[in-house]
Amino acid sequence: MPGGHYNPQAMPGSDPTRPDEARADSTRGRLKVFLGYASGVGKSFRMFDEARRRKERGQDVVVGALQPQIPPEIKPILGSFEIVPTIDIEGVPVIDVPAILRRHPQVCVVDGLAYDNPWGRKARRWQDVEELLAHGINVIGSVNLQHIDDQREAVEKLTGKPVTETIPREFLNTADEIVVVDAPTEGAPPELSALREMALVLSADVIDAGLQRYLRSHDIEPASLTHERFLVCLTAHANTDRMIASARQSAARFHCDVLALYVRRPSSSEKDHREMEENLARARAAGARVDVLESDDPVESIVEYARSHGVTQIFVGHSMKNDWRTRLWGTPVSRLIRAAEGMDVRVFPH
Amino acid sequence: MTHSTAGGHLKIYLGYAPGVGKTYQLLEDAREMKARGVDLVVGFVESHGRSDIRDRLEGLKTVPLKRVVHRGGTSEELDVDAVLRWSPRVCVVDELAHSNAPGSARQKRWQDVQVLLEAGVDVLTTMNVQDLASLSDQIWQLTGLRVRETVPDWLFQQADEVVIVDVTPRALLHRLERGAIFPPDRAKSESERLFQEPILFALRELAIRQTAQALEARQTGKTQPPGSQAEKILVNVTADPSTAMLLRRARRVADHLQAACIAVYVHSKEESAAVHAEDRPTVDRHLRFTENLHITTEVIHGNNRAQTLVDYARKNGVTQLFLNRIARPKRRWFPGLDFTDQVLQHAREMEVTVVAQPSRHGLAASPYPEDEAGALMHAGYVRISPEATVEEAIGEIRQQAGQVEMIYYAYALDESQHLIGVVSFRELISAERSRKVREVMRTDYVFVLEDADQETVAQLLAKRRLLAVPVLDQEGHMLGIITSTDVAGLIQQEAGEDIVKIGGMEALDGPYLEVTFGQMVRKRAGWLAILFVGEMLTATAMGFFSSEIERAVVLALFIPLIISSGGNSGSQATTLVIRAMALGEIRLRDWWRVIRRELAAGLTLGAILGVIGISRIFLWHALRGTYGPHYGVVALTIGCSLIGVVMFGTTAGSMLPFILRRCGLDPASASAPFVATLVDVTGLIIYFSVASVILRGILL
Repeated sequence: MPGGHYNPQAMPGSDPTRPDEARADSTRGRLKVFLGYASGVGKSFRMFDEARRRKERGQDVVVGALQPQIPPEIKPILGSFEIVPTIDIEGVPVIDVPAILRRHPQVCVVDGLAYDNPWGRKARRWQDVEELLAHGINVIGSVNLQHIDDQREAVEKLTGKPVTETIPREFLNTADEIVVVDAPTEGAPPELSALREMALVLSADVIDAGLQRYLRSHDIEPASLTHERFLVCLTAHANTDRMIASARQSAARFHCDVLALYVRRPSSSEKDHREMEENLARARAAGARVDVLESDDPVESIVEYARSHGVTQIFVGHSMKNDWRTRLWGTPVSRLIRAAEGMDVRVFPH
Repeated sequence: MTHSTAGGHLKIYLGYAPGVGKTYQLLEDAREMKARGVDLVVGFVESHGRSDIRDRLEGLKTVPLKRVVHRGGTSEELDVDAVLRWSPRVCVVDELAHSNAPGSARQKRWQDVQVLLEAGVDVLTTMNVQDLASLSDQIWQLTGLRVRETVPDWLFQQADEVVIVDVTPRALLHRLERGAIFPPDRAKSESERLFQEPILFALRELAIRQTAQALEARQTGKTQPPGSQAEKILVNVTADPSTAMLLRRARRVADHLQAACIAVYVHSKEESAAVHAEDRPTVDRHLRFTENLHITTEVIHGNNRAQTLVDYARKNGVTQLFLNRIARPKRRWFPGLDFTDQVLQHAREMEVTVVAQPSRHGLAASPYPEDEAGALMHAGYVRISPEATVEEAIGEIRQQAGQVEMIYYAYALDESQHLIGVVSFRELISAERSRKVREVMRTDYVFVLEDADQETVAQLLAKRRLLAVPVLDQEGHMLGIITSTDVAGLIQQEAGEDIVKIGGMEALDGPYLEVTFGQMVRKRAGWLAILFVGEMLTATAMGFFSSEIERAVVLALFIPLIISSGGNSGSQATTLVIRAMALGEIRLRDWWRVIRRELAAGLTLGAILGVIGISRIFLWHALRGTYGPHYGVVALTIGCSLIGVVMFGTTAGSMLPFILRRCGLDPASASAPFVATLVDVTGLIIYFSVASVILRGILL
């Protein structure tokens, strides 16, 4: 999606426009991630089960890292795998990258992607994985929701348990495949349901990043058929606060992003402009990404901008004017409604 | 445990495509439950011939299916009564979106499931995200497929548990290649549509988001008592076909915002009884659809529609109004206030959402809700088996005759309802009795797809002189037929509209005598004024030739004759071409053939008029000597001018509709008066040019 306007505060690294040079390299290994929303949902089991099936299909699989405590249901599967043991550096298990590169298997299993290697060659385990991928080794890895850096805080709030080791969201977004290991939470504490929901939304976002990457690489028009995107039109007079608040609230429900646009007319007065600056500052403070365009025809600019950014809903204030001209030609809002085909237009009171 | 639906607990295994492993995982869980000693039966599982599913079924108690006999065919459906007799704790019912065969107690499998739940039986079931009713428009935009069998959103929202059955698209495509999803012959058609990487990505994303949304709704549902929603959405129901989409969209938004949702139809006293009578069936259908979506409906009465709607909203504490984007009349000048503008004016303290009309590659969606695909279609038609003999088929027809819509063709369907061939009764009766239907039927039959627009269907029927045409879905399943009587009204209606426009005005919105005087004047004055300004050009042209007129006053006598002949021939040609276009007899690419015909016609017609004109001059001269000594040359001038003017008139008149259509305008607005105006001005120029050539040195 051009311009990728995910809210950078709410979703760091989800900007799918980031040049994705690694993707162009066809010799790069493929990364598949099994995402769990809590320990014990069975992501390691699912991952090793897949590794076993790949081995049975004749792929060359080695295990590059295991969790410190091996769950009992995995032990019987594990026996059939070749394991390249982690090196212990000052009590921290570190993937033996040189050994794996020498061995050069087709697939390397990494149970637990979020580890820090304070004394290793690379500071973080995901960087080791990056190196394996760069050398053309496919990696299957597992990670829990709380270890994704932009989810950590929210998870900590729910569970009360501090998390220290994380992987960046950008790294997760580069995953070629993500599998959410889902287990129903009926009857479980509500925190667990909330975690499960977060994991689902996160994996939907990662899939969307992949989808947009695919569309871009195949020169297909961006499409917002899978999720919503809101655009708030700011003007000097509109009730910006209410629109932004409402957009944020809806966005939270739809799990989507909010953009804001101010179209400045070259003829607008200095006073209008100052007032507007305050509005823009408030919109930014509320977490919206704000763009400013200059144009004589705000309606046209808004529609063009909305179209190129895959917007599904435009938020705009009611027109104030009500004179003979609007009776003849309609208000700017009605022109916008007519022009914004394919998008919802939500008109707000002042 | 909260039971929102009924006594039983509903668990849905949600997938995003066939083959993700919904049934497999469901059966795994079922086996595990069984092992724990849970009293569990299998009510319905379709193995699609897959051995892994059959293996999983082994050892599970299976309730025999009910055989439903209908119109000669039998199908097997979930036997709800038998399950209830077993009265198990848990029942497995695969494919929630399935539509039961006609003749079953309930139309939809989800209704069967409701009965089980109400009886306190827990149900494990499967569905795909694209089966959700409110996603229908998005799925169509994404895939081009109109999902026919859907599950209502409210049922999905009330499920006690939703588990997503997830594999990555890559893994799924591998399974498809290995033939693990479909038997080899079916794989192709399905895979082309659905099994493309970006579509699978998108469907998977939708499925995961939907699961998250259901989870969130349940969480807040537990903390929030029902009816305490802060938001209240009001949907404006109209006869406009896009209402179905508006309702689906409103349902989705309301579910996401956890808002209350109501819908009203405003019965306005300002509109004529004829309009109400015409809209009534559509509005009723929309109101029924609204109730299917579990949205409360109400019909309210008032004068002005916008005002009535807004007043109602205000009284009922509505926070958001949902309107559809009604196509405006194509009036470029002074559009004034349409319904949306009026609502916006009245509802200044409310949020008003004008909902988009989904489109795909620039095409508007077929607006009908899934079960009404093709508003004209009949599901009653004669179906026979291709393997039956002609003798058997005729017997079959005799049996079905009472129940079907029309009996001129019989349709040969295979077991999965694919249309194999068509045979007319005439062909059937004249065929040898012992031959098989397969041998006498036609396989090169004409058909339409369910999302074909009505005009196309009408044109096809007219052009091929067919009495009925079968309607198929994308996979070739037979959905129903459309008969020529169904579309006859349609063609007339459209032609009527065009004829009004040819007259140089817009259609009045109601019967002539019911339209107010003011409305009538407004509609007519605009056109007259425009044409009047156009005709002023004739004055300009005549001013240009004033010296010629001064020198040969006799020329002025024939001006009205010449220009009206041109105008008349032009209007005639325009009317003929527009009619032919409206009926689909000619297309844009036929312009060259039309222009050749019209040139020849113009020449002939001009010559005929010329001869009449010349005769009259000679006759009058002989009788009264009106036209002076040079009457012969004047007659020649008139004759030649008539030929030129009429030729120009027919050519311009026939080409204007083509040019307008090329420019994307409605050719019917190439109203004859426009042609007349154009030809009047050029006619003058032709006339005086001819005169100046012929009469130079004689009169001029």
